[in-house]
Amino acid sequence: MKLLAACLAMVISSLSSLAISSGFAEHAHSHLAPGSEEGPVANYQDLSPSDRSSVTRDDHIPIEVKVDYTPSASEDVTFYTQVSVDGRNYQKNVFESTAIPAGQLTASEDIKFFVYVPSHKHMYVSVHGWAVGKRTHRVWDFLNIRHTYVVVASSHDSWWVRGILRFLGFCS
Amino acid sequence: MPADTIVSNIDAEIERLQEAKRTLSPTRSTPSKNGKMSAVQRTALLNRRLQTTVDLPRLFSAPDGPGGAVSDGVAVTAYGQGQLSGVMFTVPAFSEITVDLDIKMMVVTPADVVELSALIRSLLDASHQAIYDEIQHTDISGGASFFGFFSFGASASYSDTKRRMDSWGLSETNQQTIVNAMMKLANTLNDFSYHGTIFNRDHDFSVSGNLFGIVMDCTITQQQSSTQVRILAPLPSVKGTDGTSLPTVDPLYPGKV
Repeated sequence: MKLLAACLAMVISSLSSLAISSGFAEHAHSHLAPGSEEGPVANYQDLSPSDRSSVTRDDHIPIEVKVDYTPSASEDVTFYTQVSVDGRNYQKNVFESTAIPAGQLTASEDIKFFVYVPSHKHMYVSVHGWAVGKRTHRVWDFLNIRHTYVVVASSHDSWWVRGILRFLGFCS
Repeated sequence: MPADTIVSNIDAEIERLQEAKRTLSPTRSTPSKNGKMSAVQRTALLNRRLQTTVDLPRLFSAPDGPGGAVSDGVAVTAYGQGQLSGVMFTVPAFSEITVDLDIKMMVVTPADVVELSALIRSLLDASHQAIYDEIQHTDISGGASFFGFFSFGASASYSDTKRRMDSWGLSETNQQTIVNAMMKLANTLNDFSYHGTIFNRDHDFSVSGNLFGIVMDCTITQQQSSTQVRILAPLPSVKGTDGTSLPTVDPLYPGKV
């Protein structure tokens, strides 16, 4: 009975995180498009680990993303990058830049968010990047992607513990 | 021109004026009977006045300043820790960021400062080189001995910097070489770039801060032309609003200092 309840809880948890992530994506895409009227630009690249990678249960892994910023020429801008794991938002990385003529400032950040791998079969990581103009309060949306990782048992666990964890739905 | 020479010149001018006044006074004190000067007296007075030349620029020249006693030189007009306006970082909890920044600014960049510092060092004798090397380990130098070379953390006039260069044992030619090198670096749009990692992995709170660095403003005067130049020290630091330094993994500017 307890086993059935645990499995049911796992399924509900996975479904709810999926729903939260999807809703977040829809909300983010409703903002304005970047690059209009000499607006700021943030190019995101090299998001790692790559989609469908395996991650170890109960571990801390770095979610790494590289961003190239191009500030606005007309107003001060705050760039945000946020990671959420299974719907739980981590603290935002913030980069503020003042208005500067095009080509006078080149900035890039290699951001590593260290996140905890929960005990689920899959781990859903969303990375959201956007910017807000300080004067006009306009929102530029640059990135909103979601990666799915396969959670595996730790190699330090014995074979029978791994079997139980798999059976209970704590890893794939 | 040395300061005592200028002072003696001014004294000479004052004496000459007093002499001219003494010469002119009897003429004024002996007018004609009807209170008017005769034509002969007037001509004599005009002749005397024409002979008495008053060199105003020399009389009113400041012993220190552009166009003054020190015609070619450097004055430190401002010195201190400056904030690089333009960017601000907030590193979230359990994370780290590696920053690459490249800004075009009207400053003498740390790379140029390193070259200038090496030039000055090469002009010093061995005993002064040891002292010069020690300066770069102080906080106020910002990682470059050049910043302690002129004033060591305070504003300094042309005379002060001149005396300071004399105390380093530099000849007039060598001093001129340094001023020339600084003049070449002025008024160019330079790339200010740095690279560094801010490590906040072990903390459950976010840290935010701006980039700070030692800045020195100078006025360089050379042959009647004066130029303002801002010089940035090689070792910037990332500091929060409360003044605490953010935990950088390595000093910024790796391999350039």
